[in-house]
Amino acid sequence: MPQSLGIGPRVTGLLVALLLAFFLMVPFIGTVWKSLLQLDPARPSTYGQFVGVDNYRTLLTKEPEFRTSLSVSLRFVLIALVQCFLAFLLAVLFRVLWPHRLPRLLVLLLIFPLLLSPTLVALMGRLFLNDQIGVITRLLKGLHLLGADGAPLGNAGGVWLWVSVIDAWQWVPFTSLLFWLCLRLIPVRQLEAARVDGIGNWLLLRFVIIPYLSVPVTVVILFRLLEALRAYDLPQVLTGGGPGVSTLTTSIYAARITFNQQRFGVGAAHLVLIEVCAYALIVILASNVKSLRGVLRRKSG
Amino acid sequence: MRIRERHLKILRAVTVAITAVIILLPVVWFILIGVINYDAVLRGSPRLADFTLEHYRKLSARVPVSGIILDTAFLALLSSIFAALLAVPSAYVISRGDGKLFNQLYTISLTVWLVPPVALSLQVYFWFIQLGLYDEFGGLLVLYSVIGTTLIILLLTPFLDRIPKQLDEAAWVDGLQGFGALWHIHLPAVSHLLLGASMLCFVRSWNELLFAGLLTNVRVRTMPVAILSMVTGSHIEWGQIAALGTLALIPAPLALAFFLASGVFKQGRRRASRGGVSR
Repeated sequence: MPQSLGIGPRVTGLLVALLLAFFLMVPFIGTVWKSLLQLDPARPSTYGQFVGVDNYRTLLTKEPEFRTSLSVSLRFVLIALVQCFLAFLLAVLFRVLWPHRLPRLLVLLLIFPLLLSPTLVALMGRLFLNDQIGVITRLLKGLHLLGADGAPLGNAGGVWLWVSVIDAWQWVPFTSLLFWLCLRLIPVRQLEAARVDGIGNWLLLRFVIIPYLSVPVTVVILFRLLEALRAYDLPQVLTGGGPGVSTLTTSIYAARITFNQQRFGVGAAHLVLIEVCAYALIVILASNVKSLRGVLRRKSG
Repeated sequence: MRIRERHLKILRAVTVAITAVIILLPVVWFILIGVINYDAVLRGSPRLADFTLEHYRKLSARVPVSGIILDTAFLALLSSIFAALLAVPSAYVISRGDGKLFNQLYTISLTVWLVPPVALSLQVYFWFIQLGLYDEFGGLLVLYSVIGTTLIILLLTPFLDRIPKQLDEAAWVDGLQGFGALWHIHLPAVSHLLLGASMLCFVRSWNELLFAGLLTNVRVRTMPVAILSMVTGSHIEWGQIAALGTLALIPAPLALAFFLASGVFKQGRRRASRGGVSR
């Protein structure tokens, strides 16, 4: 019924589409353009000159921290994958305990951490891991798991563990809620019918469970990985990328060279690389989300 | 393999209890640190005599607390209202429209929502400087409204999809179309979800750090930036930070209470049961 849509919503939708497309494309093009210029205030004589791919070359060859930040971000993404796995196990537990619906208290609890600002969560982490008054630090020292003058966030090797624990505190509960919703998509009757037919567990998994789960679970995992890729607030506030460069994610590193050191050209080159990586993930996600929307619509019809 | 009902009950209670402890204990301890003195924090077991409002008093002498709360709250509130106003008609045309463009709008919203903010930050920073929006209320408001619009579109569209098309046709026969149909037919069906999504927008704007830290300075100060500015320096007053942090986390339980009251969960249950019947 195209005629029932009306002029008003159409125009608004069009305007929003233009606004969002503008918001998406123009900064990207602007950043690409800036990445081809020499915008280092330390060299004023050539400021603003077109230098081609020099900024990218600088980034790839003369900046050792660039590679570090890439591997740090990659590790962050892998940790997010591990978190997804844990969240899925948790969701299976929830599904076994509550096959039909979760108690409201539990749902509220699972949503709660995500409503807190990552800044705040990171600060809590810093407070609890503080070498003087931190609860966790003192607990660890009491159990002799940590030396008397040790600081959990001061150790370049062990800091990873803590960043991922605090990140998990914020993300695993909600991810498990999402996975529980995915698990609910499997019709119980189909499982029962399969049981009656005497299908083995392996075949059940292969032909009933995985086909129902693959799309929504992929979407949830991709969401989570993108969130990990863009992680800025939590590591920035918790460790500031340190000690040394041990938790320097690409987002922090890009913000540092762009805004703290004001090397806009090299920074822009880095931002372009980040955005291209993100777009690659988003394209996969977007093609899946379309089918997810289709599933939702078919169910109602 | 069947687990007996009694065991199941115990397991359920234990699971909820463990989840509650893991999620609430850190927050409770953080709030407590804001209201007890330093010795009690060191000791780890506060007594009644240790409770004090001193941190809050010192905090309000040090930073303009009420100004920060007002700035952040206005910014979050206005941006979520603007986002809802823009997003509802957009979600409607995405759900009901037939053109390719409107189908693409959902993907575009998804992309805007998912793009790492830091990738947009450089150009946005230059725009703000050039347009004189740097450190202005309006600049951040526009930015948060755009980001919030995408979130509401993403959340609302699948639920608009579920409203049967026959309703549209009936409304059209009755002479309702465009905004009229949206206002009288579709919006009432998803109003509580819209409120829930707007609340998420509010929380998201309230919590945002990267753009707020980059684009504001002294005239506009939002909560995360204010908290972070207290951490720099050699001596960190954890009591005062916990006090300000307590104020900063108020919207989270409010949002939860709001979800409960507006019946977002009830809707899910009703749909689940209906789905069961139709199958």
